[in-house]
Amino acid sequence: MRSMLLLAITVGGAAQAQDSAAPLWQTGADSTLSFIGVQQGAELEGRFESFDAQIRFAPEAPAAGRFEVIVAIASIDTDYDDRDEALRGPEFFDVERWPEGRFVAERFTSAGGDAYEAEGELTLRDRTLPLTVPFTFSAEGTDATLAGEVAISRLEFGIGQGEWTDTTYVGDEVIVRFHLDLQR
Amino acid sequence: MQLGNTRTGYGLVAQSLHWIVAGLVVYQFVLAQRAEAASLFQQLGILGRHKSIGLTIFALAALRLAWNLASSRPDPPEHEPRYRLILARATHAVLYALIFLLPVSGWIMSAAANTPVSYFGWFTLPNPVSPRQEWVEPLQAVHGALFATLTAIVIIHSAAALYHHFVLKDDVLRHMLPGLRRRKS
Repeated sequence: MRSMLLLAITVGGAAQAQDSAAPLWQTGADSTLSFIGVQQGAELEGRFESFDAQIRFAPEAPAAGRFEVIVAIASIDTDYDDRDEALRGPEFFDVERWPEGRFVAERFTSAGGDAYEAEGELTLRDRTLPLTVPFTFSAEGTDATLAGEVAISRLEFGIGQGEWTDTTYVGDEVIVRFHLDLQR
Repeated sequence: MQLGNTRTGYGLVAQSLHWIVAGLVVYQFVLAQRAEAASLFQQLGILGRHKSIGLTIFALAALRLAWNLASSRPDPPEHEPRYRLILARATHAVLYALIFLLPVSGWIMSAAANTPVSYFGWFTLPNPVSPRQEWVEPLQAVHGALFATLTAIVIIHSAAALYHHFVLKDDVLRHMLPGLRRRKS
């Protein structure tokens, strides 16, 4: 019993030590992961309703950070069911085969002020490609906001097969936007 | 042929606007039919063009209305009974109303489906409503019903013009045709 307690204290202490280097933040419910594409020449906005963001980050020691964001692709929402169904289908994300999207970053650099860059890898469908994501991180006590946007090419990830590789009606570039309300 | 309307016929501006809008309305129907049979990908192209042309029709109809309000109309045939003048007025008013309401209903439908309307890729219209999917199907029905009504009114309008031309043998249809000699000066 005593050794158990001791173990608990030791483990707790270790976790705390890691926290101070790069604490793990809880993602608040108001956090958003959205995207803007171009359809028929007009901007079209959508979002992923369900995603899990494991954010370890400390502004004073960015190099110790680690991001792992897992997105439930089926939670895509562009405010129109027919289109969402098509996006989930085999010609776009093919959620039956690849239900998750993933971004993992373990290299961080400071870009001045509250701006940083996360160098990582983005996986969509069966393709994993390097991606550098600029973001701002502003902490105030136990609250923080992590926000930014990055442009990706949907075709590099195979999102749009067959005739959808033609970008006349649906543009290749998609801006991915994130705004995370964090707490620890 | 004069630009402006005269007492014996519509001028070049009014005639051009009338026939261009008529042609575009027919083309809109063709595009809508084609979209129904097309793949989702092709639909984006066809409906994108349908929306841009819809906006064009709206603008041309507005221009024509302004032009007609600013200039005089050709004289109706002599001894035209009052009820027919009123019927003609009413038909034209409904035609204009439908030509304006069709693009507007389409525009609202697009916005409800969170699909902003781009004018041939040049600029994007603001959304008149925020996305609300539950409106899309009712608006589709409204858009279709407006078009069915437009078709009926166009048939009445054309039948009336042909009736004037072939049965009453007056100049009413000629008012809207270029280069045809008037029966009466």
